[in-house]
Amino acid sequence: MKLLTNILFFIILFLNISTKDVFSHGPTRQKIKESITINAKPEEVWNVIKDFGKINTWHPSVSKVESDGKNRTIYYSPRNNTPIKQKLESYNAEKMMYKTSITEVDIKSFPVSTYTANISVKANDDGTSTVLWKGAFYRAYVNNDPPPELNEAAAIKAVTEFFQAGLNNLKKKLEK
Amino acid sequence: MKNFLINLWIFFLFFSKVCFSNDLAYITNQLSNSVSVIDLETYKVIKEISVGLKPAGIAVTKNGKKIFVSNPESKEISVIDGYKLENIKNIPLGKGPLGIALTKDDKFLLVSDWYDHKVSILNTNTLKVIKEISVGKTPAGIDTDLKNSKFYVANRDDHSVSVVNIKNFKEEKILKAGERPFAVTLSPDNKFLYVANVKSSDVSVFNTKDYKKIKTIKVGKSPYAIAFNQEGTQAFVTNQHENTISVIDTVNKKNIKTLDIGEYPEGINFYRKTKEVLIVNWFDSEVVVLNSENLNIKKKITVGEGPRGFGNFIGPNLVK
Repeated sequence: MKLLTNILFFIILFLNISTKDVFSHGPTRQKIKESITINAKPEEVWNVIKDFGKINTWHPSVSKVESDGKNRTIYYSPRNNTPIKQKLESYNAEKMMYKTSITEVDIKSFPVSTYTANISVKANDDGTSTVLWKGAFYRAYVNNDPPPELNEAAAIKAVTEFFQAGLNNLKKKLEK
Repeated sequence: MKNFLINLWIFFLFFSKVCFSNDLAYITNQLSNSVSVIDLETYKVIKEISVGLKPAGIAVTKNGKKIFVSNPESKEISVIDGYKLENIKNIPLGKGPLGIALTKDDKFLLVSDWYDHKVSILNTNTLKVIKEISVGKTPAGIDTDLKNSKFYVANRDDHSVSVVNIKNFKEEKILKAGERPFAVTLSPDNKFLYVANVKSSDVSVFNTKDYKKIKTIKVGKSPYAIAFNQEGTQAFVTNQHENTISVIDTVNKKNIKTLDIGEYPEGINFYRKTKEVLIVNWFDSEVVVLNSENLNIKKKITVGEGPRGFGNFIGPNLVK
């Protein structure tokens, strides 16, 4: 019986940690800009990334996507296929850009809160394209004095890795 | 004759200094731990002053002598000297000082604490804390009334606004706002209180006579701050997650226009001398100067990294 109580206690504790209120955050927002030049026309690049529900076709860290066009759940493979729920905040096909936000995430796997990201394709004069991925987010820990795995550096690392892996693979795929 | 001309010249120099002395805007750069000082005559950054860590809030005294900056990361208030444009003192304060405002007589400085759920009141002469008042959860933006009798603070994670009497330090009332209120701003005549609600993406309007909520105005995504024009007929709201500002007709309490302004617009002030709106764009690290009459963008001024400019950031230029 005592064991059962203990197990229950840990389940409750775990739930409290993982279902963090994504709308609370610390006082300092972080900013990430990652870009890559790809030897392909902007339209070709846009064609690959434009579908919000098909990020798994070009991002190597997304094993699966479930999408209804407005909301998607991506399964993040570097962290045991943890689900990350995202929302399409805005979409501009003419400018070749769209903005997403995270609506639900297990912060132990992806330690951010109040996250938005904007991906866009721009033409360069030499016929190549530049893909720019910009992220704005807070650390996952909402209280003061965060533990290292939930601090600003951890948040920056997680987002930078996610952006870089996607952009590098996009380049590889298009320049093949 | 020669003497007369020299005297005239000296008089002219003096006169021009008095009548045409310009103002400065102090912009907190959260990601470069500094304050950019913009000359509002030339629209040039004349200095970048190092302050504490991750500065966010700002308040400037009417005479321009002291500028106060909240630094939530290093848990202190930086004091900038308006003559020298130097950080002359850092006052340790609480666990995460964020929202900051002065009473209109400049006697008291009010600072909300994001983690401690209270507002500290400091004497601006002695720079000592004279009182701490418990308010709601995660307090952010503060505004003060013209009579120096009350202040208002948005309690972000309690979805409320505290009305506090400055004379007896009592919390007189708790108003129910929208979801996640961040900024509170009184209309210039103090008859209305506008509250920007980040999560519900709207502005709650309260009557300050009986504190009834008279209207909820839908604005863009994640509103951050509010500024009124001098007459109080228009209010401008920055919408962080939409890269726009909303223009509110305050007579009819209606959102009449949405303008693209740049990425992550946050702090916003109305500059009365030129009737321009100054908007701080966090992601673009710039201040946009908007003509409030024709709503055209006049200028973009590059500042430090990740500027927030949360508070009243304009004051007179005392630099000789």
